[in-house]
Amino acid sequence: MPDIRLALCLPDDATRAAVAARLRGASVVSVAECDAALLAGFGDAEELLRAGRHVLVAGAPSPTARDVFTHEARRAGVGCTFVNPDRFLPSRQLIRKQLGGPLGEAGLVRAHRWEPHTDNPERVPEPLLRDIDLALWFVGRAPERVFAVENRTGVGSVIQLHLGFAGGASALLDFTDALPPGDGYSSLSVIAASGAVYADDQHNTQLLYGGARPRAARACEGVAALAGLAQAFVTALCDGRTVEAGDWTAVHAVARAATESLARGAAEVLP
Amino acid sequence: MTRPFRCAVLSAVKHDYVARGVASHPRFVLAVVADDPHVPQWAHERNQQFAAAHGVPYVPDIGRALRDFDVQVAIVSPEAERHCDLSIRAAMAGKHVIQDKPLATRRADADALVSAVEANGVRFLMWNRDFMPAVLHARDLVASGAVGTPRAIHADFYFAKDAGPVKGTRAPGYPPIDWHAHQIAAHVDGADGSLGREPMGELACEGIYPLGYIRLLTGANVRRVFARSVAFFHQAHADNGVEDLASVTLELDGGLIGSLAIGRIGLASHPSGGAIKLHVVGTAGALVIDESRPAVGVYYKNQPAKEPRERRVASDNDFLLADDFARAIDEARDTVLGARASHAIFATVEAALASCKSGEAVNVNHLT
Repeated sequence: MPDIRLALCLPDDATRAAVAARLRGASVVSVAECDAALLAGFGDAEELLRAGRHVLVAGAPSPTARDVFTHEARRAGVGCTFVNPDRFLPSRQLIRKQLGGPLGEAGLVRAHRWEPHTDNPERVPEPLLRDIDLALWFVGRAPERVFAVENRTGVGSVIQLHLGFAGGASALLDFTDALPPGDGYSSLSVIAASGAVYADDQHNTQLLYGGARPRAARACEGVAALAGLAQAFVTALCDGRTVEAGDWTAVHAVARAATESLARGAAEVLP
Repeated sequence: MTRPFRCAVLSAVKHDYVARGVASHPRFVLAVVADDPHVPQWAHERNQQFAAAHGVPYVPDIGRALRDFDVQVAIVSPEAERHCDLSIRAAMAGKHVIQDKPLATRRADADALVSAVEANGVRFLMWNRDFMPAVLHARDLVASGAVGTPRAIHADFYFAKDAGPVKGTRAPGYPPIDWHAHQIAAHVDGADGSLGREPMGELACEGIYPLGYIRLLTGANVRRVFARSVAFFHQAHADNGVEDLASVTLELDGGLIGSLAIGRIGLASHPSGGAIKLHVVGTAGALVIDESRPAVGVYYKNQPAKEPRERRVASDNDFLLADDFARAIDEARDTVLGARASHAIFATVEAALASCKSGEAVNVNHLT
């Protein structure tokens, strides 16, 4: 079977080259020559779909973007999939695998995601949609109750979601884009029936000594997430199926409930 | 030289670390151990053992101990539902009070305790962990403005401890675990923090610690909470309808928000006793604090499962709490966690438990 001709629309050349070097079963080509494209954002998605290319977007779509791109894909007879790239981070893959194995059922998912300030108009911004998706993935079902609070006393968003699941599990998702310019911070822990997992930037931080106080340098997970996602895309195309994506309908329902909770100041019950 | 404060230990049936912690400070000396005459024999035996270990008399008469032994301080650590009774009697006798957690098991008792402390002009300290080195570090960083004004604060407080049989392992037809008997038996390894006749979950038993941190760092009262809880791990909790895992959203003074994740999550869940962390987001930065630091990693062949792999070092918590209490008496000021502040935490837990039941956000009913 001939290689899939894949375009990698990624943030920079180094990332593109690193992902391309790890791919099997695909030739990395330009957008004009491709059968399919992996996009790190939504910018070119509509145009590529209209041109009859299969598209995989590494990111969480807004409900509107999902509707528009799905509609275009259907018209063009191609596939359009939205996948949370965080699911392909080695740390998150390991956590999911452990939850399906020795850890047992998730009881409490706790995530902190802090980013430098950006002008984000969304009440529930895209990174928080990704964390909702992860929480639902780890717990294995949609929540029955959502409560959200935010702090509006400064620049940027400081928001936290509290999800309650049938059976007693819960998730606390803390997001801010109010950090000063520089690195962000991520921490994810899952307390499960037979143990716990802790994936935490504080633990994964190296120290650099150059006088005065040491500087912290995060140990990153590299291009593994994008490379894994690209490979999954290629394999799915070869097999004539789609990449397993999150339940964006459930994620958007949680986001809507969170927005409503913020507006009403009360917990929202999901059907 | 200043004369040491003489202390009456009013019941040492739970863990005795409070009395030992106080006695580690040179300004305090244990003078007597006492309890009510009607307590069960096992309680008399524990009190007697503690008294003998410290070379002081055991008197099964609290009134006499407070009256006849020239004590200025009462250290209170009986079963949870007796905390307020003994503390109030001590306060009414004009003694300063150091009490084990929780503050109370009932609202009326908590209210009466605050009234008794304030009416009698005595100092009150709820024993806590506010002076752990990492917590002090966090306090100093926040106070220095390193992160600006706090906008959000989050506490994780997990004890990686077991609590008897794992949930789901009770054989069909086997009777439910008796909470009181279970806690009495747990004394052997110090896992009897919830000792009392009334079952008590982790929020009520341990919530004082992380909520104390939040209070120390922000000075803010919690105004409203939304909470979820579950008996997830332990049969004793499941049988008695109390939680061993809980999550709480906090809305505090001034628009500050926060959260608490708390649980007794099983020995296997952490190599060193449990993850305890603080996250603070401020207007000018953010802070991540691991409460277990400083620590030293110790690993060896055939290491017992219960032995922490990362051992905490340089904790001065006991000394600093006792020191704060002594200074509070000297200076006639409040302690780091006085009666009113402890009541605020009690009220927060009370609201969280109500939220767990109702599924709705609940306002915290503070004292006026």
